[in-house]
Amino acid sequence: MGFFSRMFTNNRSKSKGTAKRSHIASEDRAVSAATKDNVEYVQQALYQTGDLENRPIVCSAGQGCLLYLDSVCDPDKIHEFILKPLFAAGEDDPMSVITSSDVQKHTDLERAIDLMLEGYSVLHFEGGRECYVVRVPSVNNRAVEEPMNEKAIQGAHNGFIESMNVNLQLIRKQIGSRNLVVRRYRLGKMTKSDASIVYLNDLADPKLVDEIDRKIKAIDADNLMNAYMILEYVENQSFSPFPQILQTERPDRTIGNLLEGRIAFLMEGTPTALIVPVSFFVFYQSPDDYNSRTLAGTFIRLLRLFSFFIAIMLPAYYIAVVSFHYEVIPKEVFYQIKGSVAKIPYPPILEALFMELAIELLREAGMRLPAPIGQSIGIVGGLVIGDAVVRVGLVSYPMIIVVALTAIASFVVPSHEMSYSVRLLRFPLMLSAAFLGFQGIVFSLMAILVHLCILESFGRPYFAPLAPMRLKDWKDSLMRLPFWMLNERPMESHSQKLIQESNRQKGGAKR
Amino acid sequence: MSRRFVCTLTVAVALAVCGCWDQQLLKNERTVSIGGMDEAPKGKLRATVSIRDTTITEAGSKDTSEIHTVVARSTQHARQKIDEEVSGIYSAAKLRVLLFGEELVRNHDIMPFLDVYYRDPKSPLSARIAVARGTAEELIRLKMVGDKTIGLYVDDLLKSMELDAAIPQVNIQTLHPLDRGFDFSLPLLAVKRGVPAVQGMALFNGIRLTETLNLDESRVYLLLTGLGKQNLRMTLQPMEKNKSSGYQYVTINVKKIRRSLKVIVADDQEIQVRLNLKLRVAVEEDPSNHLYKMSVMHNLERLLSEELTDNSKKIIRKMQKAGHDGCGVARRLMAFHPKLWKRIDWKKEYPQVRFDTRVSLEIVNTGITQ
Amino acid sequence: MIAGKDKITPGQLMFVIIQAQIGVNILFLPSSVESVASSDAWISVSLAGITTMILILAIWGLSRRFPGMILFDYLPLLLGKPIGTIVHLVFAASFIAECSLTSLLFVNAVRDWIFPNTPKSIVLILILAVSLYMARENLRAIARFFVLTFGLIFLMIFIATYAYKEADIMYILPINQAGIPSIIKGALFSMNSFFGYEMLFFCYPYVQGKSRTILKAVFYANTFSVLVYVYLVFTCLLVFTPEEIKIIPQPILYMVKALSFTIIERADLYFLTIWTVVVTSTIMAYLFMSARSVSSLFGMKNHAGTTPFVTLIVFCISLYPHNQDMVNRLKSIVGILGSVSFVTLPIVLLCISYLFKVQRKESAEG
Repeated sequence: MGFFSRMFTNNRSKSKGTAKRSHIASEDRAVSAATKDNVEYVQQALYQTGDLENRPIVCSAGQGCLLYLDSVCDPDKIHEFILKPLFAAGEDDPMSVITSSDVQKHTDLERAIDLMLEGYSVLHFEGGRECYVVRVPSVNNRAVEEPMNEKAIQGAHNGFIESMNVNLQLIRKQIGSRNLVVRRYRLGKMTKSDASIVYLNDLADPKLVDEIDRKIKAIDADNLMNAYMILEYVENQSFSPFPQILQTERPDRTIGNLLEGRIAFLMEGTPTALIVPVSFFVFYQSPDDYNSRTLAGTFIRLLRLFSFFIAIMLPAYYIAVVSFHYEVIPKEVFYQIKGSVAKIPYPPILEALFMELAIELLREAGMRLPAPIGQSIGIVGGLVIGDAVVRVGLVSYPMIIVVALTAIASFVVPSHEMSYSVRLLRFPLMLSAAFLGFQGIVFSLMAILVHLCILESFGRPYFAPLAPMRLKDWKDSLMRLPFWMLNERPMESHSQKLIQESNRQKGGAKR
Repeated sequence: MSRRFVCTLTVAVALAVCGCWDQQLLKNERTVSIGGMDEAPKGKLRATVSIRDTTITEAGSKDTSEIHTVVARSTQHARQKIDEEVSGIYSAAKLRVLLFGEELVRNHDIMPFLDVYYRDPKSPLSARIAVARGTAEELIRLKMVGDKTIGLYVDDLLKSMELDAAIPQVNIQTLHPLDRGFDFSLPLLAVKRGVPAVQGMALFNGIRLTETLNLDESRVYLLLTGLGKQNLRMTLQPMEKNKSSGYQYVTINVKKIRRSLKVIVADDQEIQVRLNLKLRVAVEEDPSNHLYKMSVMHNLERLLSEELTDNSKKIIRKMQKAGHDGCGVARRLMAFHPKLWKRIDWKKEYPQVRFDTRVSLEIVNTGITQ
Repeated sequence: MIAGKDKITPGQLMFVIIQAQIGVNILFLPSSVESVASSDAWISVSLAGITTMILILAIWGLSRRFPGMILFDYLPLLLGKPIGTIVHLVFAASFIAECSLTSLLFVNAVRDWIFPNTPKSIVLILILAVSLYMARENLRAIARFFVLTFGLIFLMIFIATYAYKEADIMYILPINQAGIPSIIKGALFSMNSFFGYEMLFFCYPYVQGKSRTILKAVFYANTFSVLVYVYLVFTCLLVFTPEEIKIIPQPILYMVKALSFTIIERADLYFLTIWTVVVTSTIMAYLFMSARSVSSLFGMKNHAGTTPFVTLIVFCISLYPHNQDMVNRLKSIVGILGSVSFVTLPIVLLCISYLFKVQRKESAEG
């Protein structure tokens, strides 16, 4: 008992402990009047790093030196914003000459060094008691292109990239409201990554915003590599099989959720937005639903939800039937199934586990390989192994059908996160079916349902609008009714304003 | 957190150690598709079953049938004895047809043989049930008819006859003969030139067979007892015997049946049954008449009604003689005249009940010619 | 005094009551009432349902006089400390006994119908584990689950409706053949199917809305349960002759056993599976009530701590009887306890409350 609780709770405490040790205290250091002293100090502070460039300057303003980190600064910008105007100008104050958008004067050299790490260059003139810190970062962004794993057939084809500012820009461009608020953080004592939460001030639940704000500020860790790590600190139920955070690389999906009063979390270096609080059904919505007609959208959405049941239940059901309740097979197909399983040496649960594991392996193998090889893996795995295994008589035909259908059904989920959950949940269900047949399945399902009823994502019921039941919210969760009928925001994000459309006839775009 | 984890763990361990007591793997089961019971000497039972197996290959599937016969004390005993000679686990859960030899059910009550079917939770209550002329064994021993196994063949045969409304829909469940207030009847099968065929119906008095009907009679019987359905076809001979051969028959297809059965008790004593049957039929075959003239049609209607009324009266008499209350007169007495019911001895009373049977017929359709 | 987080809506209350009421007796009621009231069983069941309405009215009247309090908070006020504690004990015992009986009947039905060889304890552990997982949560989470699984009752009704293929109205004729005494006796017999309305004792302070709305919700709930029970009993009476029902303990399962559709056969297995969920929600409700009453006996505010122990007690009690005789004995114990605490006590307490003018001083409503 104690062992388990330690195992599960020490995550946070561990990161706290190490944080104290590695914290480097920096004292103030005034800028010296001698340029040489300053250069030496900077070189020492950065441990003689190789990418520190030192360009001596002699111009009409005086004699000085420009220091910058080669790796994070753009030489073109240095030339354009600093050197060119300096040499062209007379004896004016460099502040009024340098044309970069961000020029600061600092007397503290330590502060200047910190800024250098972010792409600033430091200019010091002999005899001056202050230095000029100019922002000349080198920007090396990927193009804004459609995310590979969240393709939409119709609708916007742009996606988030690794630069948070570009991502924020993508959001701002679509939401013109002045209520769009960005709160910035600098997280991780060593990594010092930029992060921000984005929400609409008049929609998002202020209590929730404050809570997330508080929790993020309380994170005390050295390394915060990506956004997901941070939200794992923030989320309450880490051991639930269900994802409580929506990850998306699509700006349109993010914006749609922001407009429903949810909160997005963005981070430098992560091309995804993390959205909270979410409900189960958000994972089954895809932007495509909103780019097609109501009936088609509803049909596809119901199909996806149905696929959830197939993906977690079908193998379990089949195992229960062939090992406990074969009476339920209708007599027309009974002998067909019996004929195919008759010569299989193993019990169905082993058959199923073997095939499911094989499929999971194939999927994992195919994912990591470049596309052309990935395809051949599919052929080898799917066709060759599948066929051989049946011919040898290790696995029966119906089992192959069941496993294949299950695999296809688990691909349907528009969110990878949920797809993992579905794949995981299948195994306990299969085992319980092998132990107690239908009763085993029903007990496991009930346990899952109870869990879903209890589970909350950031204080909001996770299984809304089914539990608690709110039929009004079905309009945009289980179904997708025409936009002019979606007059109210869903309850589960607790947005401040429920009404999103007052005039029924006005067709307001929602997502 | 940790407590919940421990709970989950407990359940998982409980599951893991428990194994699976009631597992019945489909691959190990040998399922009977048709079973039959016959009389054996010394009050014993002679049970025959056909176990159907299917082998599936890439070329398709192939059925085989395996026949076992044992002599046993009771049905469950017979199951045990068959299991002794069958490889794999014997199972009756997918039984499709249960046959009784005619002699067995004439000389013994049917109930004792069925008891296990009602008691066993896995038993196939939806299996069809029929009586075999001669012995059931002889029929099951046919093994294969064409490329169908005997179980499948008989089941399909009975099913198609049910759809044709020539025999009633009976399964083990509907048979349950406890105080129903009517007597059941079963389809009657026989082997005809090496092929099983439906011959008619077997009427039961209580739980013992007393009378059989041929197919023509059984169709009228179905109409009378309210078991008839749409598409019941009858080929009749209207009472014009002077026609030359080829012209004397008319085939009708019953489209709608309106049946009223009234039990009237006069003076708290005399039981009288008024059975009125109104049929709407389509004429499917009538070489002698052209029915565009209303008078011809009405004449035909009248003749057919008379013929049917006549047939009905004969069958009712047969039923009464056999003590077979297929119409459920007893149930009506129980429901509407409970006092009288408690007083009388129904078995004695029933043959004396006066039936007033009338069939009237109306032609609604004559095909695409008139 | 009760945080808004724990509140439930009147709609949720309705489903909670329905799920607590409809449970294990769906299978057993037709046969057990029929054995007393013969083919007039459906009248008995309707009578019992109407009686339940009166009891609900009593519980409601009582709860209304003590806003913001559950039964055990005002028992000492009504009866004084010593007697209050005794009555409290009786209530706790009834809840635990009722819960055990429900689990026992469930496990027995599962043993008879699907798992003849599986030890009873395994199935019992499973159903109690799932129930425990739910019952230790607050009322709100429970209500969510109950609303979610409510639809299954309709599925059961739907399956049962297929049996009308073989129904014969003449089986229940003549009406009143059993005689009025038997019908009343049958009504008493079927009262225990409607147990579950006492959930109102626990829910009342948690429901948002006026007390009238609450009463309405509970009335609707009870009406629904009565209709379901009467419908199922009626169906059984139409399908089986009186003689048959006597020998079939679970006529509804028997009735659907022979059904075969194109894609499934043996509808009874599916029916039993769905029924499991319905029974589990009843057990959850009773575990919740037992745990609440036990923890307030020890003066605890939160019931999550006592639930595992209560579950253990229920497990032991329901594992103990191993033959029909002992089951019958447990049944009669539960019958006595139930009729004392769920039938007699609400009315007695209400009378005391009115006669001695005991009620909560604050006039705040709900």
